[in-house]
Amino acid sequence: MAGLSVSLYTALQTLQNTQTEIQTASNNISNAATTGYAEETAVQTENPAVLTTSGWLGTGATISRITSARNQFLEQQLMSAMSDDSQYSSLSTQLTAIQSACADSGDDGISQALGNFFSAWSTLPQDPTGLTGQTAVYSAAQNLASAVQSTYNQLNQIATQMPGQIENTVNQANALIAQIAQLNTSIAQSQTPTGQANQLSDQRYQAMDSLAQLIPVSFSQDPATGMVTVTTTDASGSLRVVSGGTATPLPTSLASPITSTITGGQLGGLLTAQTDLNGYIGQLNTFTSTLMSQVNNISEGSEGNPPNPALAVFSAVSGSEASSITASTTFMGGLTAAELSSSAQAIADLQNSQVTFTDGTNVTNATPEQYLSNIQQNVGDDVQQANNNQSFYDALKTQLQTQQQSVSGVSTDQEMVNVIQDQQVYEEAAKVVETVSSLMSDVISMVT
Amino acid sequence: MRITLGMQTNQTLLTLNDQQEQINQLSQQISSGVKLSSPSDDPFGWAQVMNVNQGLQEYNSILSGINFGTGWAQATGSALSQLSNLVSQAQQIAISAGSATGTAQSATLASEVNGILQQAVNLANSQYGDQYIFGGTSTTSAPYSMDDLTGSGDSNPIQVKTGTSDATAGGSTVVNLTGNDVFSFTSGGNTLNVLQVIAGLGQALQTGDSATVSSDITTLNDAYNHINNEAAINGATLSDLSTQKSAINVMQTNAQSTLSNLDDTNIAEATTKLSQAQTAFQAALQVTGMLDNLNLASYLSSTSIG
Repeated sequence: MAGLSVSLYTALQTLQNTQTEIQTASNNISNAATTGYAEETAVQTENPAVLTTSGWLGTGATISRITSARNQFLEQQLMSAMSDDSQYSSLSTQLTAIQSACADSGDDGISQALGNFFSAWSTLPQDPTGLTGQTAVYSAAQNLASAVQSTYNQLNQIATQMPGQIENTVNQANALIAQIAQLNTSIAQSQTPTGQANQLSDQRYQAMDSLAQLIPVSFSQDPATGMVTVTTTDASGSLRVVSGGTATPLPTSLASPITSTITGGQLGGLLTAQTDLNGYIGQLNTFTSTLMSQVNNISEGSEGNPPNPALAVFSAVSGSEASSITASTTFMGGLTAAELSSSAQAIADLQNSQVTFTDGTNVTNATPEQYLSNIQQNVGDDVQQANNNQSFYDALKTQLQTQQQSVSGVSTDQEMVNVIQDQQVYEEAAKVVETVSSLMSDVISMVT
Repeated sequence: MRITLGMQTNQTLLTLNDQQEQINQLSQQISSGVKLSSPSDDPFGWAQVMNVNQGLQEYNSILSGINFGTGWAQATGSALSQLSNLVSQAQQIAISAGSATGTAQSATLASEVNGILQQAVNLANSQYGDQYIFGGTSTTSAPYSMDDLTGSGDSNPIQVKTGTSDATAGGSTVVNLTGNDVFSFTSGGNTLNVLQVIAGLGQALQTGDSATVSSDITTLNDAYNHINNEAAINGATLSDLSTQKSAINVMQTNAQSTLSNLDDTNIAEATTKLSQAQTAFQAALQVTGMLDNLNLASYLSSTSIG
């Protein structure tokens, strides 16, 4: 069977193989910076040998398939780090905005107004019925009420934007879930035992990476069909969102227990920020209602028993004190100098009094200022924690990306070396063709 | 480990971002002079800063109370010292009237006493700012007049905040003496009024009632002692206020230095750190630049082809 034509045919196949390899290398280089691309390799296998009188004789090589370099374990790790990273990054962004809406170093904002309020009361006994002192008290009370309201409004503005952002994130996630299911179907259709659908698979990995940034994601691949099953995690456990060609979108209703208890990704970050924000607003309400009732108790009792509600300094809607607190403009009317002096001293003394603040089940004993600074400390702690977590997961993500890129990324140096090697093989195969061709002419001239 | 293009970019980006963030934070601290720009920089420190600021505000209002009290007590002191001079003058007149009982002389003495009474009533209407100091809390209208020597004021205290503790626990001081405190005194078991005694002396001199004139000598002596006694009480209030003022000043200084420790940028430390961070950043940039040329393609093109 051995003969010149076999050699010629083998050399031809070598030329074709090297062209495929050079094309693979060229494709790798041109996709070196493409997101989600995994390096591809043309796998070359030896052709079956033929039995000749001289023994088994090799007949060259074929490119049997083109594989994509993926390590599923690393991809899974990376997705989970991406979820954590984007969870804390969105939490940190939200909380930083909340923090700047309510930050108050004591030179401004509520605590400044609170200090002025107490100062005004503390100065009033110098001339209890004098216009100057009374005007100072009235305007300090109004400033305090409006400082509380404006901080509340700032926080509330962020709170009203939250549901929209959450819904937006859910919609993005659902679009990706649908895309993954569709890619599953396409991959199952185009995949043959030797022809892997590498490009579709790259797209699917990229869609899963994007999804992992929105919600926590884990996946498993069916080796036979090439389809993946994608699950996410909420408070009740894991939840299958893509199964083969079927997508199960997240419910868009924010009241749904699934959507509202997702524990990672951007969605998880937004949900945590929302819970935290509601907590701060609750604390601001507790501060306002407690301060209000302490001050009103004293001022309403200025004339002795029974208390006179007309003498209340502050009024507000019960349950939403921070948003509705207003100061009366008549609470000192008709009081004698002696009554004003003793009430004013008692109210000024509240500045240093331990007062009981009840926020749900949390009972705190603190001065009004301490409770206020404690709210700020809570906000600061939450932001700091989110920032720390974010920089940790950012570093972890980068480390895993490094590992993933080490496996799946394109090394341009390696591609260069491959191309040089292919170039040499091509030149040598061409030389074989030339030699065989000259031998064949010799044979033909021998015959004629 | 296999090094690929994506790895280099990721790692470089992370490092450069981190360093730039650090430089940004430090330069912000230096330019603003403030270490804490938001609660998350140091939540506990931030809360402390808030509490200290509130304390400083409180100290300011206490100091305003102390200054008010000091001014009031000084006005009271000067009125009392002039009043005690007037009482002493009236007493001198009573003594000299005892030796000379001629009606013409008595009439002169009586008009002198009336002049003293007029001055005493004026002192009884002394004001601090626009407040009448001997009217209790009725500070807006003059408490005394020639027709109303008992006075229309009340006996309420003017009590101002002069300390950090509660008003009921020593944090406040009564700064006024009421008209009753100053003008009402006891002599020979009777409760008398200084102004009425002086008016009585004038009348006695007018009518030639030598018995009353001579008994007024003792009575005015008691009045003189009473007024000096009240002046001593007022002096004690003044010295009490001055002690409290120094205490508050010390607290204020302490609070300010705490605040400065918590919140002021340590410029030396921050600038050193900044130049360190800048050096690291420059080094990272330089390494990034060097890596750009470090690949086989550029090496081959510069050696074999070039």
